[in-house]
Amino acid sequence: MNPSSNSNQTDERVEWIRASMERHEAELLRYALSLVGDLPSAEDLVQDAFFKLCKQEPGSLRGRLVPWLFTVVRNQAMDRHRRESRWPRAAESEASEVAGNAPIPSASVQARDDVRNLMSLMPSLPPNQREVVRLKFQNQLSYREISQLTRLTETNVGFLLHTALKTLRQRFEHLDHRPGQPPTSSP
Amino acid sequence: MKSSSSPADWTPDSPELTDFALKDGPYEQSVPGWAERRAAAEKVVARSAALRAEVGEIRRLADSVETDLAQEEIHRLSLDRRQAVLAYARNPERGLPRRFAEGLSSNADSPWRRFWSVLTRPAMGLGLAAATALSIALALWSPWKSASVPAGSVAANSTVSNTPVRKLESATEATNPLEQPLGDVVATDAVPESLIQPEIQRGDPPPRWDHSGKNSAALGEPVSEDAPGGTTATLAPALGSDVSASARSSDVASFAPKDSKESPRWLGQAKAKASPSVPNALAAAETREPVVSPTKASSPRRQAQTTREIPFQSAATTPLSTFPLKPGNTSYPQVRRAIQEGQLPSPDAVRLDELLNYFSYNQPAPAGSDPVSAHVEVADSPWSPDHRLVKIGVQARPTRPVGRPAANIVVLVSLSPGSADRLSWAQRSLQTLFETLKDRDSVALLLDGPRGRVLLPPTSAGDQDRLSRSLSLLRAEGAPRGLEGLRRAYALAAQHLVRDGINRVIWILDGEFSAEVGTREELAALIREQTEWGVLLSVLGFGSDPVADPNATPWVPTPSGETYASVASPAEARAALQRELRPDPTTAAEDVTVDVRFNPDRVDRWRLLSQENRDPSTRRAASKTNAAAQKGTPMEAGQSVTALYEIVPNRSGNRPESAADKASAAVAGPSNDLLSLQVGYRSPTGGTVQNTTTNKPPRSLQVGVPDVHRSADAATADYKFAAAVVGYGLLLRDSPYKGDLTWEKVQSLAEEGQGPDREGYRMEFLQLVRQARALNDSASNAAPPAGQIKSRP
Repeated sequence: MNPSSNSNQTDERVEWIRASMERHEAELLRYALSLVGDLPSAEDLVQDAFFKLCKQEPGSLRGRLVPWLFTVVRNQAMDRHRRESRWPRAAESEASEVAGNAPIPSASVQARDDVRNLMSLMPSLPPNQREVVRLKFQNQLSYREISQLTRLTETNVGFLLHTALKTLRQRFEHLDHRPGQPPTSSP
Repeated sequence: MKSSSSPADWTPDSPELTDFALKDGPYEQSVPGWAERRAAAEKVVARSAALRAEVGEIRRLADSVETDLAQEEIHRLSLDRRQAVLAYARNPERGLPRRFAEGLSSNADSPWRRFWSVLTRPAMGLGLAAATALSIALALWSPWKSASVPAGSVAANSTVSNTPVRKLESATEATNPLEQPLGDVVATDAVPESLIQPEIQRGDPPPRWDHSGKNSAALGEPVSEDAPGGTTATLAPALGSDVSASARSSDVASFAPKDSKESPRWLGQAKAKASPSVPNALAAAETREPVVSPTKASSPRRQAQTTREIPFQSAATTPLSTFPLKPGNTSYPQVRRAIQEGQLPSPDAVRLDELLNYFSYNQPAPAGSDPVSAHVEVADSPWSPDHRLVKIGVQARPTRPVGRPAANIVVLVSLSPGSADRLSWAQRSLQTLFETLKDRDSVALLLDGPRGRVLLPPTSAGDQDRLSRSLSLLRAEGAPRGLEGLRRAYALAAQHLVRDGINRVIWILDGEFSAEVGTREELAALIREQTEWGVLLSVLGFGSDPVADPNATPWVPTPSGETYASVASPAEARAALQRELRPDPTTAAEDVTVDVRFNPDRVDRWRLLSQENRDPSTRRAASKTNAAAQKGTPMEAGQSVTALYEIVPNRSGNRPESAADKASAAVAGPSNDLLSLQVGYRSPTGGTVQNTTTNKPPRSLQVGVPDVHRSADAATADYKFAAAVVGYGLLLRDSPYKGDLTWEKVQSLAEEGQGPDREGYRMEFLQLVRQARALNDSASNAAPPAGQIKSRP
């Protein structure tokens, strides 16, 4: 083997990994944090995802790197939760889960508890809705990407979003006496 | 994928209405048939007030959720984790490391790293205060010196320049893991001492995810390469390349510059001047004072010394001329400011070529394969009808003549309280910017400050309502935090990176912003790193006039590709923002040289309408007899430059008697030309040869310009406007070359030269002409002799 071409490949891979980390670690960490609730664990997940990425050929994930990374993070989070029995198996539950479900508070969702912020209501959503809301509105993934990631159908993704938004709206209107800017007010 | 129910059956509770409102699922653009489906649904929704209202509610709520989610803390992997991943990437055969046990030791304790981290500290105190050759020399000495002194003294040294930083940053430490000591983030894991030690030496500030290599690179080159002082000029690149070497030896300093040109420019009152390594015209067009120091206190004011205009030269003895391709851009704002304050500007502030090039002219883009084009127009001089006034324009080919790539723009607003007018400028100019964006562009808006937040997460510019609403939330609410704000801005930009598009963070700040807000080296490291990843930064200093108020210019590090513009009016703010939409600056042509050769048969004397004593290169070039020996400068795509020459034609009686004269009479050809213009260049791909001192440029354009006798009244609007601008300068300078020029004449030229004036600049200029004229009239009435302009001392 030509040592210089080998070393070029290595450099290329290292640069690719470096670039990928730089660009995606922040969004992955947010997502991972929402799944596992504490930063060191979230960092574990994201770091592991990048370890796995090292095994891929640079360019082999062209155009689907982001969903791939999210999927790895998610799968690892699920594995972890299965092991630790903390995962509510939300992603595998059916979309029939409705907004009336008991709120499942999560310390992970939002450290900053600002009542003016819709985020304060996020913990009241079922985990699968929270996740879909986050993937859609924070990570800007499409229904299709969310569907690939969560193995829900696109229709289910849409339904979960619909339900989540409705719940948030109802609860926010309920809190409307609180100070702040109602999200439903006209501009 | 199909919707489960037909739009005709929709009620406000239908889940499909959410898909429609969010334009996702079956309505997403990559799904076959989305357009028809969408059109059908739109019809249904348009007919029903209830559905319309519901769609509006869903979108508003979605906006709010998105905005709120964007506020969430941004975390980054800790340094050791990143290193572990990179070590694994380098050698996956070694097996997956258990967490970050492996990989840390290999590079982290590099001697280079120690060297730079120690070097950085004293350099911070010294290098920034007096960025001269002396400070470089001290910095080079420092590592050895400080290695032997107690850590405390090193920390104390850096405290000199950074005390306020600590205070401000302490507020962010609790929330930003980047600001936390590594030991805290990975409390259960052993962190090699080598990673922490250099940071501990620094004293109280928390360790960062390390860019010490970059930091030191930044500090190692506090002086522009263009700064005077041979020692500095040679030392700085040496430092830059050393940093690069250290980057190779360690993952830590991985974003170190590849060459010295990528090192940041330290901007103070005077920033890196027209340097070929700062390709953006905005940056290049900054003040031409030598960079002395980025610190406020030592920013020199322009010396009050009248600059002479370049006098007439004899075409027989000096047939060759050239002009700078990147004139400065500070004169016009200074002049405007003075006039608007009711005073005539100091003659020194009136620099003819800068005034002229403040405006853009409609110069034809290059045709064919040439990357540059030249355009010449000749008419009788409006102030000396016996003379000719020649307008020469050189235009580089725009990158993309049609349209521009998609843009991913993140605007960070760091305005201090009390700058209400600047806030309104920001709002208005951003509104204009947003309106010119296309649906495919995305915009995000961040407000910096103690309660800094995302006002608009990355959003398609198609949603103008939302963009406008976010602008109305802009506030100037307290000391900006700078560093953290910029980090968040970059993180947002990274989320929506557009491949081959414009990825840009626009940082709006005012004169109140200073280096104290963020540590300089960290800002510099961050900016450089992000630049490497393709997210460019533009800094707009609102309301700061660099000359009128040197202290108002914010401190900003700008690596290559970054821009800094000082913006002193709403119109300028709008223009500066518009310019940010250009594709990343690319070089259209290298080593561009302009040679103007006057034909002594036709030209008795000539003069470039510019000043002496400002740009040595102009002087040098002007005096050179062999213009080909002059080194060229690169021209960015779309860049243009305009120059005016005044020519005293050679009347037949004065024609130099020579054989050539007879020959020219016999041959109707070049000798009948007034002048010939040669624009030499190298195409950027093949133009790697830096040293052109002895080589002729491989390609060139040649334009012969025949003498034309026509009145300036018959000239184009552009010509008239250019003449008006320079004429305005001549009058303000009370130039000995002003001929019979009057304010009335300047005003009429400016009026006739308005042209389409899409951006309103020419109209603004016309107003300035009227104001200056009125000022002059009142000055003349107050203090004889009449007709003389009284200048502000």
